Amino acid sequence: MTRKIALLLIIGVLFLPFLPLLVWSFAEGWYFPQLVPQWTMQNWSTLLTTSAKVGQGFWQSLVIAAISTGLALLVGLPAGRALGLSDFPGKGAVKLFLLLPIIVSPLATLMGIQFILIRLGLSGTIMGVVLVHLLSTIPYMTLVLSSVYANFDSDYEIQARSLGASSVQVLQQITLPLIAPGVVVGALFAFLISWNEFLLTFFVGSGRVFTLPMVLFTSLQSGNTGLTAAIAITSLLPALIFLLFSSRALDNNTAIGGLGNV
Amino acid sequence: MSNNARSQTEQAYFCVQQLTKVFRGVPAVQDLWLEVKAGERLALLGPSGCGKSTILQMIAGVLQPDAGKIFLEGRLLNSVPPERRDMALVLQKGLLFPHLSVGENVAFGLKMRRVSRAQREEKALAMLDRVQLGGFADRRPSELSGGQAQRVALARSLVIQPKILLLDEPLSALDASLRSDMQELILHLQAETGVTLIVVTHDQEEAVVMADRIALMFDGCLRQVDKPECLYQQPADETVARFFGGVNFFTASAKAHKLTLPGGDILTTHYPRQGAVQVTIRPERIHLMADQICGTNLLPVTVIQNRFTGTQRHLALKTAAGLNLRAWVPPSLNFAVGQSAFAHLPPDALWSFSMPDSAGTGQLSQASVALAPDVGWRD
Repeated sequence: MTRKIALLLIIGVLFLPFLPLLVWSFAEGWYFPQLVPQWTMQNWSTLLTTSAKVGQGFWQSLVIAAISTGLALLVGLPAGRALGLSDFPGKGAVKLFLLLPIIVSPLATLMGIQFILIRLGLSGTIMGVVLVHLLSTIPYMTLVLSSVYANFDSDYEIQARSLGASSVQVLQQITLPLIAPGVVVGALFAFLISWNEFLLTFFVGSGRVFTLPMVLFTSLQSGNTGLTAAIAITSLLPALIFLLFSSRALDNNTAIGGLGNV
Repeated sequence: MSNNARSQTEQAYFCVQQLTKVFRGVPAVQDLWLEVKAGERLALLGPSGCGKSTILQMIAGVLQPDAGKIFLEGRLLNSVPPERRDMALVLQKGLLFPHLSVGENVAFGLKMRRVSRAQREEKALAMLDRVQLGGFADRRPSELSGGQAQRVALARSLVIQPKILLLDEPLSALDASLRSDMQELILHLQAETGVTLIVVTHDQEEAVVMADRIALMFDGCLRQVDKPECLYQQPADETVARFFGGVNFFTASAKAHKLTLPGGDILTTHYPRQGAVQVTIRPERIHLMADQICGTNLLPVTVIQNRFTGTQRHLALKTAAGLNLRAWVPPSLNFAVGQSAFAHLPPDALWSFSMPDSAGTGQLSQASVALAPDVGWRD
């Protein structure tokens, strides 16, 4: 019970700053000395029309974030396992190397990346945007999963094998259930990084890939505060949904690598 | 022993040939030959780090040997994955899967073999009953004590009816009273199921209680594979004797059944030898008496130390010729320090092996026994 109250409090503190956004999204205009604005649904109805491109942006963001998360998982699971479970010469160097894309500003690498992607014909495509999103999602995913695997006792796998589980069954029945919370946390990180990415998407997308941050940016430029607030709130949705659905997995005490372990 | 193993390859139920594993240039297991009969209980005994667990993991198939072959019922197992080896491994930690209930843990192996839900639940419950944990099926592993968890691990391994049950230090995490209960349970279940048992342990008492045969290992090599009694009474060398608690070692010159000690005393032994030998006798086999009753193999000694241990008296003795001996006698035999007595060394208890020719550990300890001016308790 106290845990639930604490959770609500945290949510309150986290989301209170967003209250003005919510008010703005329902306001026709909200200026001093008005205490409450003139209420309207117009911002939200504009949001749902095709001309605002919000639907398209939402969809493209979702697809790009989902693909980058999936690919990051595909690389991060084996890489995190290697870093977390085994010792090999140069492990520290590999970890540092992994952090490079996070340390080096994308501004510095942007030119080169764009040059290569144009040559490959990937500039302005969803695949190209996914590729540049992997630059930061893979390191985060690998680092999260390596700390998850560091807490995982691989003797469980030996035990399962000797009881008759094939290597695929071991992965399905033992390893994945035990590291699930860590995988969820890693996936959440990767998804949100990709979802919120602006700079690289803006350049590599060349205006043809139009994600939600870009829709927000154009709306902000046009000075429509109400619509911008509505889009901003929309952009919060996936993270909230993700958290709600994963809270059960994160709460699982028997499994390792939940939020407490990362 | 190697030649023996080579010729009997065909008949052995389970055998390991020439098994070798090297970790980073250091051999963990070297040229190991081993045979096990169906239904036999074999203990792999040795100090920690001697390569026992490595052998077990290679037998289970979770570790690939660098060289050598493993056969079960004449079938070469080297390329068979662990899940198809008909073996079950129980590790020291128990390793119950924390995300499954106790019942699901026991049924795990059956589920992997695609046994129907109803059938595997029935078998799992029956097996839990046999390890005296009926009614625990719905508990979580975290709710169990160490002993209970180990029993569940045992049930989980036996329910798949393996041909060989591999136990890796299954009892070392338990306290003493639980340990003997667990030993009894394992022996009882082994007798009931007739499963072949290979148990790895560093505890010689555990090995003696649990095994028909003990394979003693040091540094990745087998030293002696024998019945427990033989390891006590007829050790292959001084290291083996010391591992099993041997404390009496002295040199002698042998001529068939006659052993001549450096001081001139002559002893008879049942085991004929020739030349310079090292003689050993178990401390509990030395009889001590106040008067000279029977004539042979009697050495006049002086008691120089007397320690009461509760079930025995540990005596340190010195012969007239300066030989130090230790005798473990019943508590009722009380000799005062300084008292003279006669030590009877039965001919069947006098075992000897040829002298280690280099200045190894044997030479050193022999010197310390023969020359030490005063007897200290080195154990």
